[in-house]
Amino acid sequence: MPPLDPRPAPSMSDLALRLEHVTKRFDTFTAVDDLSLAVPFGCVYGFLGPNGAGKTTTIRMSLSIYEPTMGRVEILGARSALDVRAQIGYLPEEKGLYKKMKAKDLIAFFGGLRGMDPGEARREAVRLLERYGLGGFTDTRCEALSKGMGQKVQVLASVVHKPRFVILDEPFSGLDPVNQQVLEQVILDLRAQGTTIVFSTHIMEHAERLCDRIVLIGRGKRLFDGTIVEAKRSIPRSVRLHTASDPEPLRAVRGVTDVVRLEGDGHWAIMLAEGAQTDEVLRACFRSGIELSSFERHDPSLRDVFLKFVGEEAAA
Amino acid sequence: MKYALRIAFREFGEHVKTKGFIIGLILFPVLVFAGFRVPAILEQISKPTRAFAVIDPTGRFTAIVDEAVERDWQERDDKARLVWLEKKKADAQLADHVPEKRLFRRVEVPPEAIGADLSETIANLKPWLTGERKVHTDDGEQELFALIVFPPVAGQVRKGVQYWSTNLTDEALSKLVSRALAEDLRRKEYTEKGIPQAEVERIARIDVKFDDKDPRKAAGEEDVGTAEKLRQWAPVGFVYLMFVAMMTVAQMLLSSTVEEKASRIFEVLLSSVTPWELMLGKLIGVAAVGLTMFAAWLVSLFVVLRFASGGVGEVAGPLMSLVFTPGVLVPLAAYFLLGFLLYASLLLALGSLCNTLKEAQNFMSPVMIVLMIPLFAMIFVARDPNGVLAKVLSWIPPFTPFTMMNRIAGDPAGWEIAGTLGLLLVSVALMLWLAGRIFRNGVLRTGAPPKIVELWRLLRG
Repeated sequence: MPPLDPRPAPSMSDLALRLEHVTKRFDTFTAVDDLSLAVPFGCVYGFLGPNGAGKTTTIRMSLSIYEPTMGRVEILGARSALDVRAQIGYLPEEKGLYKKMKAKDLIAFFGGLRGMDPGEARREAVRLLERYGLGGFTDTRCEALSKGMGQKVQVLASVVHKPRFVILDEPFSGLDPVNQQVLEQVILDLRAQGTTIVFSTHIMEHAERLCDRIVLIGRGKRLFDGTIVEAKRSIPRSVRLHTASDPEPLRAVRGVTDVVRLEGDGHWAIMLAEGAQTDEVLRACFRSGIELSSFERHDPSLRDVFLKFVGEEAAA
Repeated sequence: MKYALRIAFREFGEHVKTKGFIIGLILFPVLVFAGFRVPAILEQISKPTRAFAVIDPTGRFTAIVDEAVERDWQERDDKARLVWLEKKKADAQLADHVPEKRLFRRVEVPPEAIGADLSETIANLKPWLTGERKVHTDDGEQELFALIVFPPVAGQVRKGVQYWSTNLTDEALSKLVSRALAEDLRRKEYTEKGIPQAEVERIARIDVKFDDKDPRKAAGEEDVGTAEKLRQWAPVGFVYLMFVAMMTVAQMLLSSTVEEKASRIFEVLLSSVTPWELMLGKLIGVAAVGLTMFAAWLVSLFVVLRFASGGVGEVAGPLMSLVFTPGVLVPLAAYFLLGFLLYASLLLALGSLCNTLKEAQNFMSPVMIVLMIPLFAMIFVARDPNGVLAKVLSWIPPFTPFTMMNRIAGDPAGWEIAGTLGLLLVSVALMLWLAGRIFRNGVLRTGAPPKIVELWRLLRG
């Protein structure tokens, strides 16, 4: 288990979402197991984890769609998300639309359910559709929209009421690269407005680009919680090299923790302790007469972090 | 409540904008109007004045036939003229009375058909009777509808009249003539026995009439009129309307719930509203659709009845005024509303468990069977509104609304109305609570519909 965030716990008023020892069981199956979380205001927070890790259940509990079996949830200072529904936006993982409704009416309807005045909701719906390139489809029935357009409409329906806090469950799944970019733009726009955003994903590239902080969940448990930098720091940096010589002498270099043979002939990873210098390794190579055909500093990606934690969890 | 109403408003909008709903709204008055008017109109159009011929060797019966046909037309025309006069009083601009169409016209046997004897003439006339040849009338060429052949001896008339026609199901002419002949024979017999004509007429009019009295009514007001007798049948109409409304609404509730569930819209909805608000909103929305339909039907029924002339309109007027008294209408409305809520909440709960309409329809079958029972029992209940069957069914909540609506004109005891309404109210509250629990746990459920044990767990969880 990596060390928890060493900073002092933020005070209640700084938190958009707080989960304290939350557990959810369905009959004998435990979907979320003693999970604690704190999402500060104004950040983009990623819920990462493999399929079935408990991300959606956690989100549903945060939104009061499910009652936790145990533990306590607090969202925007309220015990129930419905008490602060006007300030929350939500895009579920499985996206559905009322087929017979016009795009603008659908967005306005969901705005209405979040407390907007119907007329204002309709005006804002049209404005948003125009802003994100669907100006020509305001009066089109949802059944006539393409899949990508439909998803865009649903994203807009979840933010039409200008919420302070937006939760997006797997927002990128099923989107083509162009629409993924549009959605990233929506998220960046929201962040620029100071909106707190939580989104779940198992695509690490999105998380890496967008998130300030992440929580890694596996089998319902929290595996890591912190910033991206902290996440990367949690696994050792390494040097990747290709050589015909034996790199074993490098073990003696200060800061080298391991020498690992990789797949492919002559490929090696030289694992470094925190603070170790790569040029020291390079000098050692020259000193020991190790002939290099390539030498590369390897910074861990979020993907490495994911694989490490999820792999450890799976092995456990 | 604001959010429930917003859900209701959307639900209402979605259903009333469908083509099916609009067609249903228009079709009903059209059908009612057609039901009242089309047979009469069709009769006017499709039934031309039919030509018939008579072979009367004795020459004694043709005049009786002619007189009977003439008198029948006269009676019908007089009746129509009276209705026209009533209308004329209200509307001075009304066009002149158009005399009723004659149903039958006697034509002479075509000369070329006359044979050497009776049987030959009949044989010769067959091409006219089968339509191969036509007779000439004022309306042009026509098929010979019927041939009436009297016996050569006057005394054989009681058993010897032949009625030839290719259409023996339309008995209007044969009955008309046979009645006239029988009357004539009876009159002659009386006269032969020396009873004067006036006396014969008087005797023929002797009739025994019963005065219907209701012991439950105040002294001096025990008389029961025809309209009042019909009153106990009037609620049957409401039971049918409720049944039709239930069927229509059931379909809407199921399809919209299953659609929302299948397309996962429920999840977004449930992040904005409580399951209870969602369920209530859907109930209100669909109820509003049902009521709109019901109101539209009632209005069109009223309009059609208002302008329908003839028998139906005359009976319907007093009948409706009897039903539309607070003592009848208030309990009727209460049973209707509670019955609706009972079944609608059940259907909503069932819908929330299903992912496809097919699954939902499997659940519907038992509900339908329960709905059919009061429908089958309706005739017996209307005939004996305070009998054992009626009383027992009244106290079984799923049957209460139908049975009590059916009984309401039979003036059931006040405690029965209060008691069954109370029980129904408790059942509705219980059903709403149960449906709310199933709904809350069912809407986000995936996979096949639950088995009984799992259903029990859903109710508890």
